[in-house]
Amino acid sequence: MIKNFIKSAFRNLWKTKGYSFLNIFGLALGIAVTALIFLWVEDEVSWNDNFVNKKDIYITKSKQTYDGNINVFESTPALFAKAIKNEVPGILHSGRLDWGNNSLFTVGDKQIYQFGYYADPEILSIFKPEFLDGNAKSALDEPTKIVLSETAAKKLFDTDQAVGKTVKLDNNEVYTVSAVTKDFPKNSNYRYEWLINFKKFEEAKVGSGLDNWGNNSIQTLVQLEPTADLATVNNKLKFFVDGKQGSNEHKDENFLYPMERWKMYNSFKQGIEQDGKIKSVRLFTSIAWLVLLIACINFMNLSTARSEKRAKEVSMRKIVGAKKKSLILQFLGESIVFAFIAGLLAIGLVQLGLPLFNTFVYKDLTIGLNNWSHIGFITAIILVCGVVSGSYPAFFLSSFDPLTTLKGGKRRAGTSNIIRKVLVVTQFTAAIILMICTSVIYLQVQHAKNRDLGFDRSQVITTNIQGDMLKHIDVIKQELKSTGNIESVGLSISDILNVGSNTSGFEWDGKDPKSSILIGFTFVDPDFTDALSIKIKDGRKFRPNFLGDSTSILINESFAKLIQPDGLVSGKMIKMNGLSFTIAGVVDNYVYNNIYGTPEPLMLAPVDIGYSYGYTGGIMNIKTKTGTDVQEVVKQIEGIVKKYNPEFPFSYKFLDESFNNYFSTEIMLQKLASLFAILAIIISCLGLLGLAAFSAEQRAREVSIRKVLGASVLRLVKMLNYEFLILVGISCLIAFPIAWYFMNDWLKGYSYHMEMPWIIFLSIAALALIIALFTISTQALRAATSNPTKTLRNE
Amino acid sequence: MIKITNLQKFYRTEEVETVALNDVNIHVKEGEFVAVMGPSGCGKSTLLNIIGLLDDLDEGSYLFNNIEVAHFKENKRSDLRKHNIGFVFQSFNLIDELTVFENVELPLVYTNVPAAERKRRVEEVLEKVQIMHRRNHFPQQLSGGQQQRVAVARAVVNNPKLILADEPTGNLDSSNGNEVMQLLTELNEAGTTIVMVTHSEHDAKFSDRVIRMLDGQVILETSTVVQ
Repeated sequence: MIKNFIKSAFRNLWKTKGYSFLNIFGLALGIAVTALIFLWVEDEVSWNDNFVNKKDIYITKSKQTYDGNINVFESTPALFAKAIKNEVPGILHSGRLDWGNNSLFTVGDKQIYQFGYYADPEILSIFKPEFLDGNAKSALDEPTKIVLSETAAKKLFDTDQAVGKTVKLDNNEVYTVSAVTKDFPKNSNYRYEWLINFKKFEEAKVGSGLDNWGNNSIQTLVQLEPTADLATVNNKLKFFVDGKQGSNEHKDENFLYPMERWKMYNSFKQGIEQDGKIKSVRLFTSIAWLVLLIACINFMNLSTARSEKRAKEVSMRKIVGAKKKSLILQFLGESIVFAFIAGLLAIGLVQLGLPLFNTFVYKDLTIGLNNWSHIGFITAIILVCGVVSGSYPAFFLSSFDPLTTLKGGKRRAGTSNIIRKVLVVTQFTAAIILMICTSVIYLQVQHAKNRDLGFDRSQVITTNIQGDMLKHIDVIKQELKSTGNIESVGLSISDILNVGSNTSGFEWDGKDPKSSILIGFTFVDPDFTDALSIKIKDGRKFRPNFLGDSTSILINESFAKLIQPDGLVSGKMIKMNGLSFTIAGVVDNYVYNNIYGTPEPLMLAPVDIGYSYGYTGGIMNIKTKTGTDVQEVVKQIEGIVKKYNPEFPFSYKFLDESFNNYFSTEIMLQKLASLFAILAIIISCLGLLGLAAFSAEQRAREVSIRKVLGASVLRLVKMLNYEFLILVGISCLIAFPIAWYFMNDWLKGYSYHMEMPWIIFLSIAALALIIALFTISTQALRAATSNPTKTLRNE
Repeated sequence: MIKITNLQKFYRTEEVETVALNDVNIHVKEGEFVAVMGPSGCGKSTLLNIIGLLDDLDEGSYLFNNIEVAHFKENKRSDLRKHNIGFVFQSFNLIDELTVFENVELPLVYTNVPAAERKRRVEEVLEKVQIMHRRNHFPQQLSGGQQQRVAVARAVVNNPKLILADEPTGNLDSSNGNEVMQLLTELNEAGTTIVMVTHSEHDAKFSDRVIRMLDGQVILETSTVVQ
């Protein structure tokens, strides 16, 4: 019987090649999109699975309250790791890491920048990387040893057997390779290329307060005993740092945050954990199911639309003894066969689409045909699609009354027509919602990109200050200016968009002694404000060479308004951790750290003070003149920088591009949403095309009679289009409030956001109608221009 | 074999009730060949559909082999149909996507006959209706007469006790029509009961008895057998 069913299925498929193609291709697209999204979801949810002890690994966080705001930080004192291991039961390992560095590695003629961490040897017990050469025990037991990743070893030495070989870091110290470990996968934190004993970091930072319990500047990872109770450990850690400082104020509340939640959550509001990446995972999972549903609906629609063609077959099968159950099984089987073909096609489409998809999501996803979970998942999707999309046609077709059919009577189209229309409306509603979401995301990203940042990011080239550059910085700046192509060169310890340091240690006249306000600070030179075109609202900028300004500072408007509501505070004195500073000027609030947020209070202090506090390096911000040849200017900068710092390769960034990188998540979201919207529209149109063709076929006799009676082609096309356009119109009405609800909620997540653009809704409605009109007109036109005598003769 | 008593059948729309069959009483013995005749719309096809359990009766009794089947549910009707009744239609009603062999095989598929046995029986019946050489053709590749022979083969492949034929020669020329009538006669002679609806007096002569209907009623029954 099954053989008979399969034969019948394939012959039907072949007989109606066009419809079969629409059906299978639509479903294949749906399955392919779903598969791509689930590959992405799989990658996201398996983040950090490479850590064998993942469930026992934690990072130490610290909850601190300033002026009623609870902030959560990941930095801890350097003394923390050792102390908690000794004093808190249940901790198996604890180790320190700095925040990561891009260092220049030199081996012979090779010079390569590699990213890595200074880490305690115990970090290796937590990470448990796979050792390709060397072993965990001796890997970091001396400060002159370095652990390399497999890729780094191969890049530097062309082999992963590199133990014993030496490498020079930042043209300074020489390290001996003690071990080579397998690379961490892309979906992992701490993807190091090298690890060096944390002692080296401490040596470099002598005098910077690492031995002080009040200095929260490094990260501490912890691995608990498998039997340890997290709540008990957290209870012990709660006021651990405060206790060490002899304070009863309980300002600093430490807790362990599990690795299992780092990727999906790791966002805090007033100290309470919020959904993080999990929101995108949920969003895309919903989109995946939505696209699959659209594709399944297509299948149902086209199958039931074609049902009249199969009515005779169903009736005869019934007359010769087929029961309803066997017919249902036959049609379900058929749709599973179709879904299977679509599944195979989808695998091909996924393979074709993956490279492009990977560029969208910044990942290296692959579909593993030898990966049982992938095969299982695709099979499950195929079965779900087969059953879901086959169920309605199966019940519909098997319920045909053989007598009516064989008498030549048409089935009463009422119910099936309504269901078909409901399906088309559902499909278009989903597609329109996706189109609106895409447009709103795009416009919001543009809105944020075009906001007045308070500084001018255009024509600014940034380069890191490294090696001997700082020694020669004045002459470098001078020579750069003398090229005639450069307007200004300003230094800063951190890049303008990222201020990593903050303190609550500011005091000023009139400040409420009870209030504790967190204020960001960074260090700049006198040309910084010119190079970034930051306006001075009150007072003045730093004098050249900080003449008379060694203890002067600039503050931003937010900070100024804290001191005095009108913000006119230049000339006033403030204290930071006991040191007195004079406010030379108030700068315009420029955006930093949070691109969407209101600029928080900020202090800009002379760069020399920064270096005296142990800060190193920094950024040179080079503002080029308008109309200069950028490539030429870059060459000139490189020539000058390399003249004074020949040991280091020259690298640079455009501030504009760095700024755009801040939107990578939103741009990814936007690209994906547009991809899915386009696919949803294609799938919906495939369905609409099939239905329109079917409708034109069904109404061929009516069209012919009308034509004979004098109806014009235009009138007939209008008549045939009308019913579908009404459906698209209804879809718009349903889609609008749903899309508005979701996108309004999404926009609210950004403190700097646009108003919901109503014009978008109207534009999308127009676009959907035009696309639908174009799709169905091709069929309507064909029907309306056909020869009526031919149709009527066939009748 | 068939005993129908006081059969009533109505067609109802929202406003009108039409009597399709009114107080019909019919008795068909096993092995009989009965023709039902009458003008279009007199209810003869409706009667045939009720006999074939494709349609319900509203009132009356229908005994098939002495079993009351008037109120059988669809599953039981289907079972009874597939084991006992074969159908031949005016418009052949072959499934276009299946070959001659597969069309004829279909009733055996639904009665779960093993594949080897199916092959044997299908070939046997195709030989009998002389269409064996076209076994792998699709219906559209055959002439009308050939298609109706396939339809007859499909109707008899399960060795049904009863064949219901609804104007079996209606779409055929006289020569093909005669061939089909000859085929039905042979089947009847072999013991199969046949009830045939026809407009053709010529075809009716092949039967043992003619039931004439008008406006949903049986008005005359005549024997065609020469005494």
